[in-house]
Amino acid sequence: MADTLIQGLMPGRGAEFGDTIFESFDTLGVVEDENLLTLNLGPQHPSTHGVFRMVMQLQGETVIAATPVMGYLHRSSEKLGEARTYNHGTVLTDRMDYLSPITTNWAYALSIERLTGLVVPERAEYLRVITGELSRIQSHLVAVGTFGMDVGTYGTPLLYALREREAVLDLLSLPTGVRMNPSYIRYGGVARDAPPEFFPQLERFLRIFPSKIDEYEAVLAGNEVFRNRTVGVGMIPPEVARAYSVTGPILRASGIEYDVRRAEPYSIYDRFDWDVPVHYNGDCFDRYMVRLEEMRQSTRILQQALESIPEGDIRAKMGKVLRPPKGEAYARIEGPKGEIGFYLISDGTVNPYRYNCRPPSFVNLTCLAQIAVGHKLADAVVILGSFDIVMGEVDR
Amino acid sequence: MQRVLDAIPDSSWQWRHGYAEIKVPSARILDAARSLKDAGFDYLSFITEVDWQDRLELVYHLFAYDYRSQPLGVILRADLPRVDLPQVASVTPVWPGAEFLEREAFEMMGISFLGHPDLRRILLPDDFVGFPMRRDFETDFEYITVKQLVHESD
Repeated sequence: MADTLIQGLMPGRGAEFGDTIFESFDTLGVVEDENLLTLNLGPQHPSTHGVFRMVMQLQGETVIAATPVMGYLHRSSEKLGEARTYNHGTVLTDRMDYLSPITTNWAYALSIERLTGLVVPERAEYLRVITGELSRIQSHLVAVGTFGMDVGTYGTPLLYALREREAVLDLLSLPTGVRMNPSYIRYGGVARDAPPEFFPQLERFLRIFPSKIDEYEAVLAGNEVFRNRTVGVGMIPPEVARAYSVTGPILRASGIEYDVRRAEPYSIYDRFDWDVPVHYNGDCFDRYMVRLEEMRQSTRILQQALESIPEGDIRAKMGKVLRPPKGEAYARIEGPKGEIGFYLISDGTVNPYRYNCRPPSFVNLTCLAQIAVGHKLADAVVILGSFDIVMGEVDR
Repeated sequence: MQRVLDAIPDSSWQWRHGYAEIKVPSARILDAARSLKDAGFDYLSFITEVDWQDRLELVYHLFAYDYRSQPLGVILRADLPRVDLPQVASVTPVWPGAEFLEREAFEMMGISFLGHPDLRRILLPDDFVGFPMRRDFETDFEYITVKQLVHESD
């Protein structure tokens, strides 16, 4: 076994200092061939959505092999989580999916609640759903806007999407107090109650927003160039999506109706009336359409939550320091990118014994190399854009 | 569930948080994965590796894309000896989606997966020494300071 591994890449051995292995292609399994062009896409490239690198071999303009390389943003969140208390661990989850931190907070809080048996008050559950769905809208807006950039629309859809994202961020900053990294959902409830002016503002937003979604659809989905670039590009057949553990909008664009909010309802999602949008071609265009549909469904959920939110506590009764009983728990939620899971082990002390996150972008990337092969280089960029990855989450 | 257990000798199971938790010997992990996939658990959600000081443990969380099935999920567990690079069969032949998760387990906990198509480092720099997610790992402060970068630019 050991001799099949490249010596320098064995963990625990360590390469010699000065061996800049990142620069040499042979360790990435790239074969030198004078007929092929080896191209580094990234790590610093606007289309890679962060510090992500793809080593691609091209014949003419066709991709014949692709190797994803990651880890440039690794901050050892999981090791840090083991050295901090349960409360401090929430802050680390903000930095994973920085486009929708509240959903990652939620997965972490849910895992602790499963570990300790804390019961969350009703009003806190509603506030979680409201802020969680607003974060999903916010994340999908960035996904849709930057996807337009990848296809080559020169900024218009991005600016349209960011305009609404600003409105969502302003709304979110009322209960959370900040625009980014809110650490809003904590174990046992939420950090703060929403101020009274939040609800009329949310209502006004929900009145305007559906027409804005129609606007994105009119700008991009009706555009002939956009359709030519995305329809039939980067097809993921349902059996491939199943085999590669794909989740989120990518899975639902491949015709599999699977949403953790439906499959294993957490919080109060079973009380609302909403649909799981499914498209059947599995190409980049369908992934884009599923995201638009999901924003419409989020609006529906928000409308219902806004009408029925009760008064009451926002935090469960608990001590200042949390010492969960010995045990372990895995809790999962449906984030904007897919299934976010948290696996925690408690040994009865104030620190988690094991703090492990299932990042949806990381697992979704597994099938990227297989999907990109056979496409033109420009299409590979479109496929990566349609995956909607966040490097903070991939590298943790 | 009983049918799956009969196919794997020396296994035991219990309920945990609504999931069926199955413990198998590490040599049987691939058999267990195959029979669970045939039983409908076609979605490998997550692989966790745990260092229990005296042994290592692999924890697989499996669900079904057809979510109306019962039980909701399966936790598959296997113990490994706590040595450098203990060997265990990779589940990539059953679920190709395990590729990156197993690469992460390989570099973070030092578990060698036999039959993995491309077992390389994934997140850490290539001159990193040690398995950082093991409990006895000590941070090399010489390594993480900027000194090294200054040296390289000379």
